[in-house]
Amino acid sequence: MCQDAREWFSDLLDDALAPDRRAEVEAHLASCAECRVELDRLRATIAELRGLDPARAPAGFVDRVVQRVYPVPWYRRLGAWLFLPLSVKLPVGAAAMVVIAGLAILVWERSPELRSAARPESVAPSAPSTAALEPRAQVISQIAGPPVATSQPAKQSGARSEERPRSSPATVVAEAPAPQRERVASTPPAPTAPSAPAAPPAGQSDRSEIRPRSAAQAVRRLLAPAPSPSEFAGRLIVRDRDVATGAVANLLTVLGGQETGRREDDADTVLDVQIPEARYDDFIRGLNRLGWLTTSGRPNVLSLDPPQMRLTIRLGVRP
Amino acid sequence: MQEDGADSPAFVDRLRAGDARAFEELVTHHQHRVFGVALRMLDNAAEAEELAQETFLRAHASLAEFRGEAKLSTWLYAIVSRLCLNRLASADRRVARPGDEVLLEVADAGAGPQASAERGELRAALHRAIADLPEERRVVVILRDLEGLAYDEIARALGLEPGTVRSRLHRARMDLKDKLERFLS
Repeated sequence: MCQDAREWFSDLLDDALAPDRRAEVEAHLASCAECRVELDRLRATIAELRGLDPARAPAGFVDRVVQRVYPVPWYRRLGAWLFLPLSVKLPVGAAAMVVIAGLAILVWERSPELRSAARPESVAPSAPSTAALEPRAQVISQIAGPPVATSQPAKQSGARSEERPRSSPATVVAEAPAPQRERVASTPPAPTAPSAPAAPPAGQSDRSEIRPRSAAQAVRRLLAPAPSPSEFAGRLIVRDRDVATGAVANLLTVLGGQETGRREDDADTVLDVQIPEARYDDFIRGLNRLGWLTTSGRPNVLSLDPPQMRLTIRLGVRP
Repeated sequence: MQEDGADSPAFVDRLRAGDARAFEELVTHHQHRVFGVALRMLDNAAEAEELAQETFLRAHASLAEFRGEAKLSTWLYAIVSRLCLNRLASADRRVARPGDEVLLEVADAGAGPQASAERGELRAALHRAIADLPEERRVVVILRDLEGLAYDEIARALGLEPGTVRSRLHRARMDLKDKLERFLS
């Protein structure tokens, strides 16, 4: 009798039962507590299904579909752009020039270090003539000397940090600082050996490098995008935290990433990691295999070579 | 412009006549529904977009044959469902099925951290449970409980008898209930 009644539960909840059938099922429910519990669970399941956030098509989807259905040949697009009326092109061009000139003046006025760096006598002798063609990381590195590291870890409130791993000049770039406290990794790719915060390099006390480094810092400040905290938050619930921590470390090694920090926070272990952007999806899939993963947002991409992502994962144990 | 819940005859006529702006309106109006079905079925955003685009391309190619007997949305659901089932049944996909795709959901702003984490776990479990359903049950529960189609619309979209729709829907819901047992206890 229970089996027969339960066959109609979906229709009952969808209000799709004929009156006589409905009466039968309801009569059974009145006398069967187990079936009532099953019905409640089914009702809750359907409620959860219907409460899922609706998916949204990615940005630009309509344009891509229309472009495929009504493709515009490249020569027509070029012609349309070339033959834009002058009444449109001239004011737009003029406005662009005014904006660019204004920004250049603003930057120049607000950076005495930049002006002093522009004077011929302040350029370091080692700066190559082809500096303009090199990646800006190497230019900054050559002007500033060794990377400067702060003497204390950045606070969790998101204080700016100038810490950089020392191993690769490509990482000495003024990018968005770590949003949370991070320690300098000893040497990549050894993610599980956090070291004490790095002491300032010996060269920092050399007075002859003060002016170029401060100019380089000014350039970094000007070129760096406004810092914004990572909008990514991830939580991984596992059975055994130690096993999971080791598994995450292995996963990072396989994917070419590294652990940049670790701390205990209440009952959770908080891992700060850095992974290549191209391996982000694989990393998330790997985490999903280790336990219950919930995430929100997507990490910022750091303009390194290759592009990297920094994210924080909280490891918790299911009670 | 389309009326809510119904397709105006004038709009359908413009579509069938090849009006490009009408087609763009159609895509704009239905893009999220079509993409949503593809994403839930395939559990892969890139593949879902590819299939969603293909759905509209096929719709455009057969607009002249659309008679307006069914709603445009039902017609599009039929195309995307068929494309998804064909893709899932293809040999290539069986061999190289991608891993679980995390459907990132925005954290519940009103709940505390503990409650928010538990809701997140439940929703993650529900996403995985949907992805683990057999395809023929998955498509029915997606069209019914996520997209809100009526039984007869689902039957028409999938070319099934209403009794078959009812049966598959019930099995799918019971499977999901069993997988969420520990959250619902």
